[in-house]
Amino acid sequence: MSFERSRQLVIVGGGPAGMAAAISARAAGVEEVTVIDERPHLGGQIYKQFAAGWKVLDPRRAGKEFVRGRRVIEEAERCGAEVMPGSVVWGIWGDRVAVYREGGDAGVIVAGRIILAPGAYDRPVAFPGWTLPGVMTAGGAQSLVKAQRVIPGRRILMAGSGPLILAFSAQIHRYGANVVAVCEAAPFPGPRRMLDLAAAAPGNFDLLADGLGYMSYLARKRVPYRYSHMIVRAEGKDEVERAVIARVDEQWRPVPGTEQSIDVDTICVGYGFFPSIELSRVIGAQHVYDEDLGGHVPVRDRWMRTTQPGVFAAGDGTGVAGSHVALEEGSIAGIAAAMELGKVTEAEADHLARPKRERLARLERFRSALNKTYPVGPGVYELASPETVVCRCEEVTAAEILDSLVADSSDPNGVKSITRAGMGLCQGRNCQRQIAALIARHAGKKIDELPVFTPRPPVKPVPIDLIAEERPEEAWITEVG
Amino acid sequence: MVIGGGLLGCATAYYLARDGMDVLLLERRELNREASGTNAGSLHFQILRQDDYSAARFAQLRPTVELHECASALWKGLEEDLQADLGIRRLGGLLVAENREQLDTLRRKVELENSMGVKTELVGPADIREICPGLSEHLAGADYHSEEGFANPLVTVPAFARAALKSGARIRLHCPVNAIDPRPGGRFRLHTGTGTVDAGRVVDAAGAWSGEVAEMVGLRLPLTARVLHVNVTEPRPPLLRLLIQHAGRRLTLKQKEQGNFLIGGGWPGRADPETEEKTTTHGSLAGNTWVAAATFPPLRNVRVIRTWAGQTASSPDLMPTLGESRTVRGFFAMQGGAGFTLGPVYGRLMAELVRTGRTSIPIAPYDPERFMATAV
Repeated sequence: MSFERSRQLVIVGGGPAGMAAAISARAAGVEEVTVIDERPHLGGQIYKQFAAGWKVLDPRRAGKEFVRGRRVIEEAERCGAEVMPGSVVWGIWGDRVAVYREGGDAGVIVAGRIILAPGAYDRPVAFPGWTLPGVMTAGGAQSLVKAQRVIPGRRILMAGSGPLILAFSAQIHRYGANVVAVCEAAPFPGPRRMLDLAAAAPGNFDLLADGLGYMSYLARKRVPYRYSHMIVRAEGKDEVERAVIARVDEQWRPVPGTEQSIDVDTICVGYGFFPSIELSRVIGAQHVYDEDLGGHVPVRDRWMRTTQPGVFAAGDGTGVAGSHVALEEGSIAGIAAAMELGKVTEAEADHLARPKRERLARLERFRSALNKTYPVGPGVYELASPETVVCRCEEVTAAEILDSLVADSSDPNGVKSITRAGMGLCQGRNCQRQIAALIARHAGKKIDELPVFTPRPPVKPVPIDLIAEERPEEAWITEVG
Repeated sequence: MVIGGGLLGCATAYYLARDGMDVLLLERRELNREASGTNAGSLHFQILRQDDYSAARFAQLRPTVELHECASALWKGLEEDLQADLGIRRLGGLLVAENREQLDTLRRKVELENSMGVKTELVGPADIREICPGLSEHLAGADYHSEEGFANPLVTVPAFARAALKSGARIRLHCPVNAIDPRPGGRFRLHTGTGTVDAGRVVDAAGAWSGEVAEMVGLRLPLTARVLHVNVTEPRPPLLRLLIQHAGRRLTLKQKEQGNFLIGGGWPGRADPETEEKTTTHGSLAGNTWVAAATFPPLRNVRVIRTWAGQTASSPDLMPTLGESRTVRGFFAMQGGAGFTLGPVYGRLMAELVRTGRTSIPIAPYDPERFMATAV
């Protein structure tokens, strides 16, 4: 039932960052590389391939990202790294990476070095009605379209901010979806922002051209694109029947009297992503808060080293920046791991990493300009009414969360204890930030001044029959002192 | 002045404030953060599993029977008293044996319990499965107490704290006590992280840190700290109504009202000596869930979703501490021993003692100065 073996390098996550890390580590001479991913195939969310039963006859028609992704996936498969698909890393203790395989076995890989490339997940936004069937994340909807070619509804409202909501609106419209409107919370980029973007464009021309292409496509198809508008409420009896949208100010706060109702059966919500920091937190690495990167992100040096010796981190899991950045960061992390394992000297590593660092700096300029164009407004955290369910696993409302604060406490851990908010199957991924935002506003503090939920394994639900193991408790007690 | 925002501190503050005393509770961090909020919430009314089942140990435990009896009554009225849902369920508890040897031990335990007035009975394998369907077919018997069960430790302390506040007590969070100066006239000056405070009497309810607080007035309260590990599973439909423990292994198992199973029983976690941050271990997770699933096989296909670790402490004789210092009058110390089950009782007795100098149950065996003479 349980295995234990050693590998020089274990990479958690088989998306762009993880694959790039495996490729560069192998190229730099690391013999034993294992890539672990929950999904059945490499590629991650961005390069998600078609589900079983599909056959691609003409890859170009499947889109540019698909082609780019397939190239990286093929390279990763050929690079000589071992791939463990369908496998979940549920905890890391020191150099011991605990894994289980869905419906299979479980065990520990003792890793010489660890690269965390866990990616990101959709930023949850709680507004009245957000738990009605028919409201979904843009990423979830994109998954349906990418892997299964299923369009999630007949009349779709896209609501969010940033490049994703733009790209995805155009993509699903191209597949025949009836996109009734797109709400972009940020204002129309004025001349100054346009100049910023243009200034950052040299070398990033592809990215800018992609964005402009999506915009002109939607304009041609006469899909209304509403800047400075947000979804403020979803209405319906058993499922979504209407969306109420409103004009918002620069802080993303609704302007009174601008509400308007649209008949839709599906609302795709895409306000960007949160990095998956569960593992980097469980190992005790230091983090900092940056709203535009998606929240708390691990502190790293130029070699992608976290503050925890032997552990590197790359890609969206370290701050949401997209697949292009993830590829470069992953490559650098792979080279750095090879350097620490003694496969290349520091000078060789520097030489290998230089072109990747240059590309990264260029991408960084573009991302920074984009972030200025689409900064996350504090209003995104203020849509919930007192009756809105904030923790959907345990069905805890905003009012219950604020009522549970005892004395002058402003600790989300206390709220979690008393209300159960954050204790459910999603392990707080959906509600933690919203809870912190509610408390912060109540206490007149900033979100990053509040403590976060204490991170402890398992970072994913883990079946008892796979991990249970007979061991004598007394001996164990002596062992740990 | 009560030092410590755990169960003992908040219960003491509540009972004192309710009876009209002016109470200030100081907590160095947040309420209910250590043992009080991190234990598994079992309500034990049979005698706890012991490593030592000798007559001498039972003689030592004899006075605690009265504490448990008092606790049993107190928990019955607690939800009404505090005006809060504490998640109390008392549908019985089984301490199971898996072999002859353990069963013989339980037989002796039941005899001793009955001789002290604890209403337990020894049940055989067929009865076990009748009382509690789903338990392993390989069990040899069990010690059964019909009123055992569990409550929710996460809401119990906040409920005491709210009731204390309502009765006029004040609570100050993030206020560590750094030094205590005894002053003339039997008063105390406390130097805290946020200034000095004067008090007529001081109750040390600092849990695993109560030894450090006692030391500030020169009192020796030796404690062995332990970090315990608890596991929670995803919710499932109701399968288990009782509290399950094991005679030979470390296990407490229960299914909460929301459907989640809680698996604990004293497997070790770890604490970082510098940050005091507690972590759970792979070994305890694997070992504790193995014992649980071997005892209650339906757990096999259930997933663990959370673990936590909490700090507890015990005195060298594994007995509670509760009383006033004889050398430093006005300084009171209290420290657990079945701390969750007995916490409300400790709080009430301490309030009686501080207010009147007497208690309704004898507390001589729990003298805080019984370790003064022992070697370091």
